This record gives sequence, C-alpha cells and structure tokens, in this order.
Amino acid sequence: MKRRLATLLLLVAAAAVLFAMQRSTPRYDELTGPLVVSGRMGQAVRTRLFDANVERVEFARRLVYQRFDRETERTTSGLWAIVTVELSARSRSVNVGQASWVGPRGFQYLQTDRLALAPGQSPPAAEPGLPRRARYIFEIRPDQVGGAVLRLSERFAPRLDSEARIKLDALPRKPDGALDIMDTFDMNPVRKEPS
Amino acid sequence: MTGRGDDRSAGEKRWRRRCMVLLVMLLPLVLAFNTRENIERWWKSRDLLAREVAAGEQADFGGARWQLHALRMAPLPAGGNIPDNAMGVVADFRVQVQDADLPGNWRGCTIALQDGQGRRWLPTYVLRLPRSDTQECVSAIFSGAKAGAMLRIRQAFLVPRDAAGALRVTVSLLQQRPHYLRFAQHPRLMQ
Amino acid sequence: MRTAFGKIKTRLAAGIGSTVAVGAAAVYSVLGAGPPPPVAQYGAGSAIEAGRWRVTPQRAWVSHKRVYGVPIKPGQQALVLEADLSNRTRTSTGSYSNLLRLQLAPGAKPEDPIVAQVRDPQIGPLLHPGMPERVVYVWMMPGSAAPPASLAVDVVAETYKPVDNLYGTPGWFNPAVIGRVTLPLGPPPAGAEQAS
Repeated sequence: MKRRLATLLLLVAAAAVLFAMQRSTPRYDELTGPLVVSGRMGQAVRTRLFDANVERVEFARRLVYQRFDRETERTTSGLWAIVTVELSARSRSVNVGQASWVGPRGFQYLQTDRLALAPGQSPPAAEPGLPRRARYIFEIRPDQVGGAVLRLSERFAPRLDSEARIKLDALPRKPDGALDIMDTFDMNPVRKEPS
Repeated sequence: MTGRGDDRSAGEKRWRRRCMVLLVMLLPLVLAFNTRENIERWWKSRDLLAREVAAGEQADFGGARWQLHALRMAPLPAGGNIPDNAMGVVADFRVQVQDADLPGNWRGCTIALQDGQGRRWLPTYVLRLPRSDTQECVSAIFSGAKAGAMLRIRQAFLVPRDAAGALRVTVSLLQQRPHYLRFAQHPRLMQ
Repeated sequence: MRTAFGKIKTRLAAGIGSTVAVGAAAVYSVLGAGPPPPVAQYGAGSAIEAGRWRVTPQRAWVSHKRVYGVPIKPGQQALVLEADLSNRTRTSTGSYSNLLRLQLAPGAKPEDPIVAQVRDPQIGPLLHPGMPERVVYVWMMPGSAAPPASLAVDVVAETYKPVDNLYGTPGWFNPAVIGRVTLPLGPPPAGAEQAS
C-alpha cells in the first residue's frame, strides 16, 4: 500500500514538474528576440552598437514649426512627448531609428509620422567618435506618462540584437509636483545671431 | 560451457571498444557535415581578409578595376546636423567595368572608412556636395554601364577631427566576402 | 490467450471512433446547410467593434476636388466616408485599409481606399492605442460613372491569436465580414475641400 502511494506521489510530482517546464519554455520570438539592456535617465546605457543617454523629456500640447514661411501647428488628442537622447556609436555608424514609448500597462506608442516636413527631423545617425543629440517625438495618452520606458534600437523588433530600455523616471515637474506641460513646443532650429 | 562464455565475453568487449573508438571518430564528422552550410555562410558574411592596395595602384575586384582617385578631407562648420569637431572626408574612385553584370557582382556595395582600431564610418547624407558627374556605389549598380565603361564613384563621410588622418578606405561587395579591398592612402587635407 | 472482450464487443470498441466521426460530419453538414445568418446592418453614429479597430462612421459624400489633402485627378470623382477610428490593440498601427470594403454595383471592382487624417493633411497616419482619430476613406471612381444612391461598405474584422500556428507570435488573423454600413451620400462638409 505504502509503495503504491509512493509511486503515485512520484508520478504526480513528475507530472507537475513537466507541466511547469512546458509552461515556462520561452517561445520562438522570445528566444530569438531582442537582447534587453535596461537603464535609467541620465546614465549612458551601453548596447552593442550605441550608447544612449536620455537627457530630458518634455511634454507639450501642440507643436509649431515654420514651413515655407508659414507657421504650421500640430495638435493631438493626447500629449506630445519630446525625448532628447545623446547617442554615441561604438564601433560603426549606426542609425538608431526605432524608438517607442511603452506606457506602464504595456501600450507601445511608436514615433509619430506626422512631422515628416518639420525642420530638424534628420535621421538619428551617429558616427563613432561624434556623439550627437537626437530628438524622438511621440503622441501619447496623458495617462501613459508615469512609469514609462523608452525603447531604442537600430531595427524594429530586433532579432538577437540589443535593445535599450530606459526608464523615464525624471519627468519635468512644476514646483507643486504636477507634471509640467508646455502649451506650445517650438520645433524651429535656434537661429544663430549673425556676428 | 565456461570456455565458450569467456570467448563470447572477450569478443563482446573487443567489439564494444571498436564501437566506442568509431563513435569518437564519427561524432565530429557528423557535426561537421551538419553545420557545413552554416559555417560556409558565416565565413562568407563577414569582411575578414583585406586585400591591400598601395597608393596609386589599381585592384581588380568584383568584375571591375578600382582605383582610388582622391581622398580628401576638409573641416566643416558646425551647426545644423553637423556636430562640433567633425571633419568631412570625400572618397573619389575611378572604376573601369570589366564584367557588365553590375547588379549581380556589386550587390551590397559598401564603401567605408576604417581606422586602426577597427571602427568603421559608413557614408553620410548630411553633407551637401556640389553636383557632379559622380554617383554613389549603390546607384552605379543600376546605371547600366557596359564593359569597358569608366565609372566615377564618390562617397562622403563624417569623421572626428582627431581620427581623420589615419583612416583608410575599404570597399566591400557581398559576393566577394570575406575578401575586401583596403586602400593604403590616407586622407589629404584640402584647404 | 482469449480476447479481452469477446468478439462483438471488440468490434464495437474498434468501430466507435469511426462511428463518432461519421456521425459528427453528418450533424455538421445538416446544421450548416441552412440559410446564412443575416449580416448586421449599421448606420451613421453606431460604434462597431471590428477586431483591431472601433469604427464609428459619421457621414459620406461625393467629392470632385481635393479632400483633406488627398488629390483627386480631373475627370475622377471620389466617394468619401468620414469615420472615427480607435486603435484597440497594444501598439501603434496603420493597417486600416482593409477595414472597410466598398460595395459597388455588382461587377464594378473598387480600388483600395486612400485614408487621410482630418486633423492634418496626412495620408495613412499611424494611429496610437487608446487615441481615437477622425479619418476619411477615399475611394476613387471614374467621373463618368454615376455615383450610387447610398454608400454601402462591408466592415471586415480580424481576430486576435496570442500564439499563432507558425512562429508562436501574437497576431491578427482570419478577416471576416461582420457588418455592413449604409450611409446616404450628402453634400461635402465645409472645410473638407480646401486646397491646402
């Protein structure tokens, strides 16, 4: 009787272990997916091809820029989020073109495509030895602001390549603690005074 | 009975040993056979072996004869998309086409600058060069040039000022990998 | 050794699987042979849950001039449907061209629609999760053809599979028509036909 009970228990334990192994096996897209490098704002996050340092995040209700001497504005039903990142390439020229804002519940907001004609929207290409600042602009829902993560990579959905995931924890705040949202963000390049 | 049993177990032991030895020999062979395609693909996907080209010389590569006509560098004013301490480098090639199958031979044409530590600079599109009869390598593929035609290929790069003097140009074609061309000429400063 | 169950029972046990299969096939064919279920009809202002998107059609009109940034060649006219689209997925996406399928008179093959945003003159914008936007679907027609009395479009929805059969990745599959929207063609609203 005891032996039968022991055998039964062993069988149940083996079944439980196998079930746990089956449920926890990563799927194909996880196995061949991005190699995540995490970090926070203000520190240089080192991936295979580039280092990224998120300097600041700004929020605005509308963007304005000049085009053919006409002022164009872009409004949104949510908020504009402008993230300034310092990029430096490590071993070869790299175009860190894929950026997305992932909210606290996992909503992924890709870069906006409504600003193709705005000035200063060059592709964020970094050369080795020449660090540069790049600006990524997103259109997000106002409740996706806190606890968000910025994902940066060279290609969309990188396969077995690094992806920088940077926690956006230093948001601009007013003295009373509320989020500082600008009314208008001017995208025109700062004109240098002729000397 | 015992005698025959001993013989049988000795025979078994001998065969078991032979099988173990054969296994040790067979396993690496099977592994090599199964992965030979992967190994070949890995070998052909990287720029590993440089073919050095001295200054002023020509090299046959990818069905054409390549000559580095000029490699010039010029400091740039900062501002706009150009960072401080950047130097612009322009590489001019004169290429004589020998095999007119350019789309086949020149697929994945990459012209880059390389320094002594292995950093690579790919062409940039930030510099506004004056219009001329030169073209980029990728657009030259579709130019429909015939055998014997002379193509002028130009690419511009953005490099840091302190590294600009020690750079060398490399030309890499997908079909010719792991070989690639490396020209020994360093950039000359243009005033 | 004797057989365990005896002859008749053995035959029964062996035949149960095939009997059940034949019976199930018969039941399915009987049930599926009836008339197809009626397609749901929607009008203006009704919110339709269509898989990836929540669509609320607003109004429709015929246009001969540029509409919200979409150029119309001379000699052509356009059937325009204005709708609110809300992205119900987790990621920003721009795949809404297959959401509405224009139904013209039988025989006419409509082209793929051009979708433009009402807020800016932007064609094919990315729509972000949880942020509804008003867009217009523009179908080009030759100017000589008479426009239909009312605009009929089929709403096509896909279903979400968290793990697909090939790679185990999530995706939206199996497009199916879930409803039909019929809107009367009215006059173009003011502001839609500015040359921008």
